[in-house]
Parts: sequence; structure tokens; C-alpha cells
Amino acid sequence: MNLNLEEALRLGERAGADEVEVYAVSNRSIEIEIKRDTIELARESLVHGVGIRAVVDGAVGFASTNREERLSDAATLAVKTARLRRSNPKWRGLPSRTEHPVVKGLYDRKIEDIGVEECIDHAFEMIRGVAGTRETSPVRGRVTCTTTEHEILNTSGVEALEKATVADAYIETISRRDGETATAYDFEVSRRIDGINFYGIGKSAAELSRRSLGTTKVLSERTTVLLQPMAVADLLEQTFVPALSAENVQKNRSSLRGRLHTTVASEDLTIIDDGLVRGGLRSAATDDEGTPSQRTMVIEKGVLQTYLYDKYTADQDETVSTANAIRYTYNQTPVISTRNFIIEYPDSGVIEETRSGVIIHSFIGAHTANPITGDFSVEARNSFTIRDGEIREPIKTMMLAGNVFELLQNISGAGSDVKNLGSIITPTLRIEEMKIV
Amino acid sequence: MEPDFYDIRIIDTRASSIVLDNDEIKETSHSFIRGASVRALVGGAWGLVTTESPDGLREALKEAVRLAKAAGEREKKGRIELAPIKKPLVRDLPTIRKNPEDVDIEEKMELVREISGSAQKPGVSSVRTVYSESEVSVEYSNSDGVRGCYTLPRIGFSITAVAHENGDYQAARESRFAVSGFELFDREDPLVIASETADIAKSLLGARSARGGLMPVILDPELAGVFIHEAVGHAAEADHVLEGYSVFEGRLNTMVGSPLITVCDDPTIHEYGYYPFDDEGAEPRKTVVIENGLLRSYLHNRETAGRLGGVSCNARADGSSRPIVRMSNTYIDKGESTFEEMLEEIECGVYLIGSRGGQVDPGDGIFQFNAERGYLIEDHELKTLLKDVSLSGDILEMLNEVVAVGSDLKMHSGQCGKAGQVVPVSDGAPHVLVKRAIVGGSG
Repeated sequence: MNLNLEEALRLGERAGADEVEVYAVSNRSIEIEIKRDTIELARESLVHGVGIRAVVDGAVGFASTNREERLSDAATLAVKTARLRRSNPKWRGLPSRTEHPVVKGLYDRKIEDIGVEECIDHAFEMIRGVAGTRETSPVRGRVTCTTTEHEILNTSGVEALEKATVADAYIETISRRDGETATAYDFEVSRRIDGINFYGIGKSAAELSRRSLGTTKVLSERTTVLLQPMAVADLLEQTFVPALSAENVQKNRSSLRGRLHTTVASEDLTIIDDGLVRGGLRSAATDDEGTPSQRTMVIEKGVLQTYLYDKYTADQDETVSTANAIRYTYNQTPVISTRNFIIEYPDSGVIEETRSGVIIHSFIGAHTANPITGDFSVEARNSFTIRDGEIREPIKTMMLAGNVFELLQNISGAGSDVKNLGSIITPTLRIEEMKIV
Repeated sequence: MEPDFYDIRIIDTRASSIVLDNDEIKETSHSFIRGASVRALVGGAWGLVTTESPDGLREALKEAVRLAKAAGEREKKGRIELAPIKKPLVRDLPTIRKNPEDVDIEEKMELVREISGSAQKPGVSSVRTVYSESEVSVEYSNSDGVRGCYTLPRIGFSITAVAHENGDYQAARESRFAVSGFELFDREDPLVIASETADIAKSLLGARSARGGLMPVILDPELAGVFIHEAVGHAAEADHVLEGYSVFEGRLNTMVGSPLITVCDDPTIHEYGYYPFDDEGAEPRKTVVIENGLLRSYLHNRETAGRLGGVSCNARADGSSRPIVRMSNTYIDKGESTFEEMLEEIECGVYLIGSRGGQVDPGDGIFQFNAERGYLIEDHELKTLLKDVSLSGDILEMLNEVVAVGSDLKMHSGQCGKAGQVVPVSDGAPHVLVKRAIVGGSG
């Protein structure tokens, strides 16, 4: 199929748009699915489609297709729906042509050239990683290698073309002893195939599920809680990240509204949103509407420095975009989200320093947290007691309740175990006085 | 080489949506997306090729066969035997009275504005209204000679109201989605629903946080439906059972819950999880999963039914993804109790209402989900309004603790995610009384 992007721009302009943007993506991926300790399925998928945004008087219409014969319909509909909307006098226009930074390490030829057989080898490496742990076996897993090319063209002269690769490996394990079972998962994701330790993922998931056997019950109390990187990411993505979105702030559904340049977190906490990290999973020359990527100080020593903007919300606040327009597929309009969201806190021996508390690997149900108030009540997964500076017994069931904005104020330490989870890069964080049930 | 089996699905989707955010149309979007999926089985493994184009399907089939061979050749694996299915007869399709395509976009925008306006009251700081419609056409064929096609429209709206007072924000959300034409808006009064949603958000500003602990609870039909979907339905999916990842493994024909509990999955009823045939071409059928506490049946696709025995009619796929075992319309069947009788049983407990979603680990049987709100029950009466209250525990313990099931069965539409695939489903229940459950909250 051949989708002619310049043609789509012209079609939109001819239909009466002031401005037109075409976003095209072309993906090829190979995916291996593991079930128990065998390969169940090998998949190859091709995606190729375009999304068209048309602007009339500052109102934006959108249509998408992956069918050549529908390209003209899509362009016309984008313009038609834009016309039906109220004009937006604050809109200053789509991003315009500028110099784009160069970000290295986003493409790995080995991934583009990889064959299904090699992906299968990696899947078996992961399975072998599980095999060394007694009483434990894989439940399911996945190895995916994707090559993506995306192109952004607009009538203000933006022309951004980028090719990038991602390898992603994931495994879940189950451990059994005397009728008791425990599960765990682990994953790694990288721009380079050599950046992934397939054997190590299997091994770490297996060890975690086995260590989670032989549980004890805990009593409701307020105590010190150590959140490991996945647990931190689970919580922040659902609560804190939406509160930073300029759109949510402007629409009066963010608890951070009116909090700019005030202390919103522990004064040792710094958070940077950086679209330029070498090899970063959310790195690119531009964001997904063509604004050059940048490094943005979000929280500096506990003080909120900025919200996250795309071009539209930046125009409403008469400021500049922070290059946080993200598209997950070609058939949706961009949304405001993080680039590489880096959480920094001075590290220390957080486990050894803890006399009494719990450590939590990840959560179940983090998506049920209240994204506006930041209140949450979530089930901990693979959690353990800590006594006298050592990790002790696994905990059967435990809920953690609290508020993410209070949590950020109560951080008292961090580990040195920084992990890149895709969009959030964080160490283990220690929080004082959390409620466990 | 010839595969043992192959099938081809071509899916054509036309979709559009309008998002109104406060007074501003945030988004209007249209899409025309086509996808094709070619699946081949060789021995003990599958190959799958997905593309957007139904051109070149012969090449895609060859590639799918190559992938299946590569996936299976490294180890000695048993052959996968697919259970036979009944060829589909597409009949009893829901009647569509108003084709959404015939309704002007201006009229739809006006409707969305009215819905939103109905929720804009003093104290409500933000209202988000989403309208969406889609029409999906599926063409299925396989190497056993099964063929079928259908076109199904879906439509619906959701409203989220946020109330704001003294730095506190509380949200409420309500939605109606259905396999239906534009007549959905005649059946359900969206303005009343929007107005009630705004009232709920406002009332939550004055609500208290729940104090966590073990106590008797009454679940409303929506939350009980989420429980049955998340905690019971997922554990009954035979692929989880085969993975050794279900608390129901090895428990067929044993008691897994209170004799008051009967759970069914029924893709034939015209709720949001309806389908004329499943994504392996099988005729839909009602499955009784639990009958009076006895685990009767898992839910199957052809592969799991081939391994475990059972009827295959729950294979579903998100677009051109692979068909896996999914629920359709899942519910706890009616009992005989009334809500008042349930209140009579409780001196001190909680009534949990609505859902903000949930999650379950069907392997170790642990679930967690959040209610939209709740009421403290004291001396058999509903007292203080509660916010941010959640329920968690062990699936089997919870099923055993059910001591009353109401007669007021009600279904809710939603989306269910599994293995990265999202499909439309509905779930429901009557009011359910649970003697002891873990309630979470920060109060």
C-alpha cells in the first residue's frame, strides 16, 4: 500500500484547512509468545497508517486511515469536523520548522535485521533463566522486536522522519510448594537487543516468585514502606503524571493547579522529563507533533517548575511546548504524557537503614487510584517484611492506602537500583508513615 | 508445505467519536481501518501474520506457515488438536432502528453538548463527555470450510464529572454502551444520567474515607458484576487453567463457592459482549460456569477445548490480533433476597457502590478493586457516605462468604483487557451480601 503524505497535505488544504498535519507510521514487528516452557506462537505484524489533523480558525479536526482509497475521505472529514468546532483565538499554529536535535542510540540494525529464529533463541534463553530455580516454572512470556519509522509533515514546514527500534522481553513465573502458590513477573525493554539480559529476566522473576512462598500475615499499621521501581512507576503513572498535564491543569482537574514554584515534594527529590536521553525509550528528535525534544526540569529540590505541555495547551497558556505530545498509534490524536521521566533522589542503603517496614515490588490495581486527588488503595504484589535492615518474610495479602501527593512529601530515601521501565526511570523509594492494611 | 489448519479474518472498522471537554470540543475523529489476520497451525505451534491489507493473503499464509514451523521445530511438542465447532448460522442479529451514519454530525455534537450541559451545575468544575460509534465488519474463513460474515454496530457515551471544593476534587463517571443504533439515546435518558453523575461527584466532596478492615459488605449490581468478571470469569478462562495460572485448576465439578452462587457467560444475549459468531467461527452459546456453587465449566477457544474437553465458543480477538479465550456477557444469576433483608443481616459493615475498575491475579487468586463510593452500615441502616473505598481478598474465600444474592440482576457494559487486547464485554449481578471481606481505605 502506498500512502502519499504530500498528497494528503494538499487534499486537506484544498478542502479549506488553514493548516494540515500528517503523521504516518510504519511498523514491522516479530513477536514470540511463550506458554509454560514452550513457544506457542510466532507472529509477524505490519502496521502502516496515517493520521491527519486539519486546523480551521484554531479548531482541530482529525481523521485516520490505513487504506489508500480512503485517504481523500479522511482529509475531507478532518477539515469538515474542524469547521464544526468553535474557533480558538489563542491557537497560534502547529509547530513550525526549526532545527531538530540529534538523539543517538535509538536504532539498532540488529533488531531491524533480526529473524524469527533468533527471537525464538532469546525466548528460550529467558525460559532457561527460570529453569535454575526450584519449585518454579514459567507461566507465559513474550519477546518482541519492533522497527518503527514515523514521519511528521505539516504545512508550516515541519518534516521529521525517524527510524527507531525496540526490543521488549517479559516473563511471568509461578512457584509451588505444599499446595501454596506464588507468582511474579519481570521485564526489560531496550533500544538495543544486546541491552537485554534474557536469561537474567527469567532468573529474577523465578527467584522473586519462589521467595514469595511461605507467606506471613501483617497487621494494619502505619509503617515505613520501600517501593521498588515497578511499584513507583505503577503509582506515579496513574496519579502524579496526569496531574502534571497542562491540559488537566487548564481544565481544573489537577491537584497541582496553582502549585507552580511551590514545594510539592521532599526537598531532596528532583524529577526531569528528558526527550534527549541517549538510547531512551521515549527519546526522539521531536515529540509526536514535531516540537524539538528537550530536557525539562519538572521538580527541582521538591519545587514544581513546570507542567507538561503540547503545542495546543502551550498556546492556551501563552508559553512554549515542552515537547510532551505523545502518540501511541496513528489513529489517535496526540496526548500529553511523559518522555523519559527521570526520578532522582540521593541514594543510600535504604534497606539496611530500615529497622521495621515493608518492601513492595509492584501493585495490582494501581489504575484504580483517583487520578485527580491522588488517593489510592492498592494491593501489593510480591511484598516482604523488613526487620533490622534485612528483608524477611513474604507477605500474603497487603493493601497500601494513601495519597500520592503526601507520599512525595514523605520520601526519606532511595536505593541505587535505578531501573528504566519504559517511560519512568527510577530507583527504589522509601516512604515514611504509610498505611498498610 | 500444508499446515494442519489455517484461518483468515478480514476486519473492516469505521469508527468516529466526539470528545467534549467542559464547553470545548476536544476531539472529533473518524477512522477507516482495515486489518487482515492469517493464522496457521503446524504440529504444536502457531504462526500468525497480521497486515492491513487483504491483498497478498496467499503470501501471508505462506509466511504464517513458516513462522509456525519455526516456532515448533526446536522442541518435541504434542500436536495441538482443535475441538470441532458448530458452523455458524448468523441469525438473530439485533435490529438497528437508526443507523448512526444517517445522523448528521451536527446533531451528534448538539446531543453531546446537551449531555454535558446537564452535568454542569454549581460546584462541578469539569465535565468530560465522550460519544462514540463504530461499525465492524468481519469476514471469516478457515481450512475446515467454515465461512461467515457479519456487520455489527456499537454506540455509546460516557460522562465524567469532577466536583471541586477547598482543594478537594472528586470524580464520578457513568456510561452506557450497547450493540445498537442511535436509538440507544431514546432508550436511555443521557441527560438524567449526566445530571445524576454530577450529583454523585458533588456528594463525594463531603464523604469520609473508609476505615479499612475485615467486615460484612453488600456489593451493588455493578460492583458485584466487576467482581464476577475479574475474579471468577478470568480464573475460568481455560487458557489460564492450562497455564497453571488459575485457582480453578483441577476443581471442575467441585464446590468453589456458596450454593447461592450461579455464574453464566452468554454471548447470545444482545448486551455489549454479544457476537453472532466468535473469532474462530464458532456459534455462540451460553456457558454455565458455576451452578449453585459447583464449578461446571471453563470458557474455551478451540485449542483449550481440544485439550480439556468442553464447548468452544469464547474465542475473541481485538482487531487482527490472535483469538484468545475471552468472556462475553458474564453475570451472577438472580437469587431471592431483597436489599432490605441484606441490611437486616448487618450491624456494622459497608455498602459498596459502582466501580473504578479492578485487577486480579487468577494464579494466586488475589483480587483488588475500587468502588466509586460506599455507605457505612450501622444498626442495619445506611449512614455515612464513603469515598475511595476498595475491596480485596482471595477469590475462593470471597465466593464462600456469600450469604445472600438479590433478585435485581443488572448488566453493565465495559471493556476488558487481556494480553494487550481489548474487547467489549458486559458484566452484571444482583445485590450480593458477603459475610466477611477486606475493605481498604485510608481513614
